[in-house]
Amino acid sequence: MSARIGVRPSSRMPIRHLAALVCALVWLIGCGDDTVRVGTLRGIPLQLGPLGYAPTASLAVSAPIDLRPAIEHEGDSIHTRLFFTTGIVTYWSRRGNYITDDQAATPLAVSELQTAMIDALRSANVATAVVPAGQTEFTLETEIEHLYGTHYAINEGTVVVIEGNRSANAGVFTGSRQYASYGNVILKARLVDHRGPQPFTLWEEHVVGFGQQEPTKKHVISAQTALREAVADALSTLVVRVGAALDRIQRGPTGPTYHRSGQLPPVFLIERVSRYRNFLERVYIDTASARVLRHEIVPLADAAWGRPGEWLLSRRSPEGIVLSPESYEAYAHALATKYDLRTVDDAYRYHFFGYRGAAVGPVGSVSPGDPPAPAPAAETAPRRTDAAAAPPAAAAVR
Amino acid sequence: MNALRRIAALTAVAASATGCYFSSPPSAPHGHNPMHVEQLPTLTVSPVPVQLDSRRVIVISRFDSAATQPIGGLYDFNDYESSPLIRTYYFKHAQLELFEHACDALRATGLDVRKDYATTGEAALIERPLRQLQPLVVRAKIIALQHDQVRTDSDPPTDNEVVKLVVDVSVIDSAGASRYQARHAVYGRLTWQEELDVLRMLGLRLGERLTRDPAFLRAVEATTRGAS
Repeated sequence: MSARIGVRPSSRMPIRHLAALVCALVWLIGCGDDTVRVGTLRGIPLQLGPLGYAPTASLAVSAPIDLRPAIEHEGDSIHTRLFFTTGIVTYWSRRGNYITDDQAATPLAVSELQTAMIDALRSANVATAVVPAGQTEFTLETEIEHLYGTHYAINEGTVVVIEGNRSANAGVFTGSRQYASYGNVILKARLVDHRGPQPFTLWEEHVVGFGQQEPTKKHVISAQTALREAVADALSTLVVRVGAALDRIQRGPTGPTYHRSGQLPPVFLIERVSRYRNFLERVYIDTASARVLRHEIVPLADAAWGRPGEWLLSRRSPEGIVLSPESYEAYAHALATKYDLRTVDDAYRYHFFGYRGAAVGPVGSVSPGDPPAPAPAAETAPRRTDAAAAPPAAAAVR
Repeated sequence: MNALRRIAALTAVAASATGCYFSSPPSAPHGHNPMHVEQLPTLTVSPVPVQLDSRRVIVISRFDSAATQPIGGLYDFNDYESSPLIRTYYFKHAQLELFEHACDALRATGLDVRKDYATTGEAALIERPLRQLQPLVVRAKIIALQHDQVRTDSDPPTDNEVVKLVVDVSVIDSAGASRYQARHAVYGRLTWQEELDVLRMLGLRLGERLTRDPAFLRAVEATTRGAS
């Protein structure tokens, strides 16, 4: 960008130069930044509806403890890398990281985040009651390790005062580069179990939320928007993770697990995660005929559901009820009489490699280049694949 | 005479207005450090993994992460105007990619390694059928992760993938007792190639480091296959 700013002649020529220089600098300062508005975490859109319909736990959500480093309270901005002036030529180069301060992020981070967490957990139906405080079976405690919006920025400029016959002019040459804005939220979250005589930490991990916005000249607004996106993302992750932890002890949103005997189920499910971890593909299979009865693709709330592309024997029954760990074992042992199920690399689910009885079938359809399906042996238990001999890529169902 | 006076006055004003200031503000995004390509080792993974034996089932839990965005940047030190930092990068599921590939590296040794996607390795959350196998749980927390692309100022310039990974790894038994705790830092560079999966290489390298750490092997009760 360049501009010319003129000052009328006077008898004091050096003063003209100074005036032109000051005009140029004042003009530059006036066109630099967008106005900072006070940030808020109120009204963050909830990304997830109910994760299930039968939770049995009660949950209190404490106010988070703010452990953010000082820079996330005070904020930061770009700094001057080089500045020099000779009166006639002035040059500056500025660069660095913009970081939101308490005003731009939110002055009420603790209370607003607590309210947002409660709203998100209620919306996801993670527990029967989600309250800010009180006598509950579980308490969710959080610490805010990071909560900020940021982006990198560079600008530089030169002002040259040019002496003319009738006036002094200032030539202004400026350049800047915008970079994408990012929102970062990292909460250390723990679920404390109060059911026993002594409370103990049942689950603990960092809950991370990210947001991003394209480069723009309205850089403060952009960082604030990225931060709100990050909070929404962290809330989604929080409810999924808390739900998964409660589900592990059969108190979560999917409800008590289903117990069934080890006979062959009439229908079973296999599932796999899409390439970018945002969808889950489910196939319902008629056990007797190995025919596909239904095929559905549903949005996936938990990106860490499994490895993309690998077919797993689902822990859900076709009715949508989650099997207990023991029932799943019995279910898999029964199905292993007809289907090739193996422990590959998942601690809690069997990999599905197709129908044992035929080389070609509706489920375990084998392409010409694939190895033949294993013979229907007298084996009735799921197998453990030798990790070195048969990597997961050898799956017959893709 | 008039011209001389003007020149003298101009010089006086210029001299009094002359000033210079410089400092060193960050040249990389917040939380990142510029990495010098020349000082980094080439990131390699052995094509022949060490062969290990252990009677124990090893559960590797989903990686915990405290790494922030952006994950890295594109730097061109060969041809730039204002700054070598051209753009910054965002990648949301880096910790999951590292988790998958570190597990692959451990499995390639012949160990029975299984992934727990739902938790980061809480002993209290191990389900009963798995608990009966008395598994050993490997937990990992990513402290720092940076993946830059760098064009050097050398002659001729080279295009590089540059990575930094710092992870705290621990091993606990199914009762929660600690058996191993260590911080692993992996730094490296790779020559840029189309379709190069850098996070895969980084995950494999982390897994390989663990399989070459005697303390880790003792913690998971693994021995080199064929060794007495």
